[in-house]
Amino acid sequence: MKDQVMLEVKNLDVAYHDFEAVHDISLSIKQGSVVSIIGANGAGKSTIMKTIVGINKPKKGSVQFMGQDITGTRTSKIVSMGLTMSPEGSHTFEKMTIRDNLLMGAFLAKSNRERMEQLEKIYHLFPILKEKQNQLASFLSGGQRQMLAIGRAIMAEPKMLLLDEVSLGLAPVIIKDIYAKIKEINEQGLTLLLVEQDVTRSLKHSDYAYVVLEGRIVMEGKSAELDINEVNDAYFGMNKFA
Amino acid sequence: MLQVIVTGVLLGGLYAIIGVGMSLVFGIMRLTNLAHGDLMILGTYITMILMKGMGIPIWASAILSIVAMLVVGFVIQNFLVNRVLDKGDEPALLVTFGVSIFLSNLLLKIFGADNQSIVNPLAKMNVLSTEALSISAMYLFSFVVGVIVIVGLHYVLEKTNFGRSIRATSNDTMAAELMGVNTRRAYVYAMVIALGIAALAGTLIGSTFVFYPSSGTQYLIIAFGVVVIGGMGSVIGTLAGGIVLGVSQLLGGYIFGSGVQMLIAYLVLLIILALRPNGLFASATRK
Repeated sequence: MKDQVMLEVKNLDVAYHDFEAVHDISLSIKQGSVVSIIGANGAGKSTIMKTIVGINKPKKGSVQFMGQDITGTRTSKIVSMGLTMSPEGSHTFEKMTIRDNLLMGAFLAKSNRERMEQLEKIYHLFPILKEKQNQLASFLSGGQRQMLAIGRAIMAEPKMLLLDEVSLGLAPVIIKDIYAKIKEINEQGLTLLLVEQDVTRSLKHSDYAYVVLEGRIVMEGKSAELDINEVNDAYFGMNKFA
Repeated sequence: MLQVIVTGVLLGGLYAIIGVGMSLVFGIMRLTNLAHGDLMILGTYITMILMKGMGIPIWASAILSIVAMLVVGFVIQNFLVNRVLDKGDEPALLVTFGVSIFLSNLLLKIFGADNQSIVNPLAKMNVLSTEALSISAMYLFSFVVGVIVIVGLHYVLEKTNFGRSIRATSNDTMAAELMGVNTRRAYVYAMVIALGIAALAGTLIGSTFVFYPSSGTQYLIIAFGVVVIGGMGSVIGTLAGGIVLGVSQLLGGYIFGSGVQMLIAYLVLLIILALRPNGLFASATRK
C-alpha cells in the first residue's frame, strides 16, 4: 500500500484571465508520504494547491486522486472523496465558536455520534482547543488559529491533506509545535502535501520536495538527498534549471 | 399610550416575519433581495386565489401558498441568482430588481389594480377588550407566529449540522466548501426557506391589511428597516428590529399624527444607524 500513488498531477496550466500563474506542473505523491512544494512568495504554490482541490479551474492538464480523475470537480465533492486542504491564512470561521468550527470539519460525517468521537480526538491532539471550545475563533492567536484550521481539516478523517503555509507569520517556537503535530498526524497514516517558503524547514519535514519558481517546477527530489544550497539557488532562480 | 405600545410590539412581530427571510438571504450571500416584498405579496395572492377561487380553507391555502413559494425560491435561486453570483454583486442585485418588476406587473395583469383582502375570522376578534386596552386576535396571532418562526429558525441555525453549514457559508464561503458544503446548494436552501417564510408572512399581511399588486414595495421598505435595525444577517435581531420599527411607527403616529408615522419610524432607523452602524445585533458576516 505504502508505495501506491495517491495524487497525480499532470501538466497543469492555470491562468487568471490572461495571466498564466503556473505552467506545466506535474506532481506525484505516494500514499503515507509528506511532500513539500517550496517556493518564494508569488511563485504559484497556492495556485497549485487551490487547483488540486478544485477552487481554481485549470486551463490544461489533469489531477487524479486515488485513480479517479478529479480535474475541474467541485471542491465539496473532492472533499467528500477524502482530499482536503487547510488554506493559506487559516480561514477559520471567525463568527463561530471553536467547537462549531471543528464540528463543521465533520460536516459530511454520517451521525452526530461520529462527530463527537472525532471532536474528542482533536481535543486530545490540541488540548488548547478544548480549553477554549466555547470562544469565538476570532479570539484565537495566529498559532491557535492554525491549529484550529488543521484540527478542523482532519475532523473529516481525510485520506490526504494539503497544508498551505501553516507557519506564515508565526513565532519559531509555535512553528516547531505545529510541525510536531503535523508529524504525529502523518504517522497516523495521513498523506500530506505542504507548501512552505522556508527551505530548511520544508526539507526537514518532508520525504520529497518540489521547488517552484515563477510558476514552473525547477527542481525536485528526495528531501534528504537535495542539496540545500542548490535548492536555495533554484528558489531564487540562480541555477541552471531556471 | 399603553394601547399604542402594545399594538406596536404586536405589529413588530409581523414586521419581523416580513424581514427575517431577507435577513437570511443577505446574511448568507450578501444579496439584498429587492424582490422580497413582491415575492411576499405573490404569496398573499396565492393564498387569496386558493380561498376565493377554489374554496379551500384559509389554513390549507396558507400551507399550499408556502409550498408554492418554496418552489419559486428554488427556481429563482437555482436558475437566476446562482448563475450570476460569481460575476460580482451588481448582477445578482439587478436580477432581483428584474424579478420585482416582473412580479408586480404580472399581478397587475392577472388581478387588476383593485384592493384585495383575505377573509380571516381572527381579524374581527379581540382577545382582550377593555376601556384601557384592546388586543386584536389577528395582531396577537401574527406576533406569536413571528416569534415561533424566528426562534425556531434561530434554533436550527445554531444547533443543527445543517444550520452550522449555513452559518459557515455566510462566514467564509471558500472554507465552507472545503468542509464539504456545496455552497451553491446552501444558497438554494436559504432562498427556499426565506420564501417559505415570506409566503407565511404574506398570508398574515393579507389577513391584516388590504393589498394590491404594487404593495410589495411598501413591505420591501419595512423588511429593509427591520433587517438594518436588527443587524444585517442576524435572525434573532429581526425580532428586535420589527418591534423597534412597529413601536416607533405607532408611537410617532400617536404623538405627531398618523400622516407622519412612517417618517418617524424611519427617523428612528436613521438614529439607530448613526449610533450603531451594524444594527442592534452583531451578525454572522463575512470577513
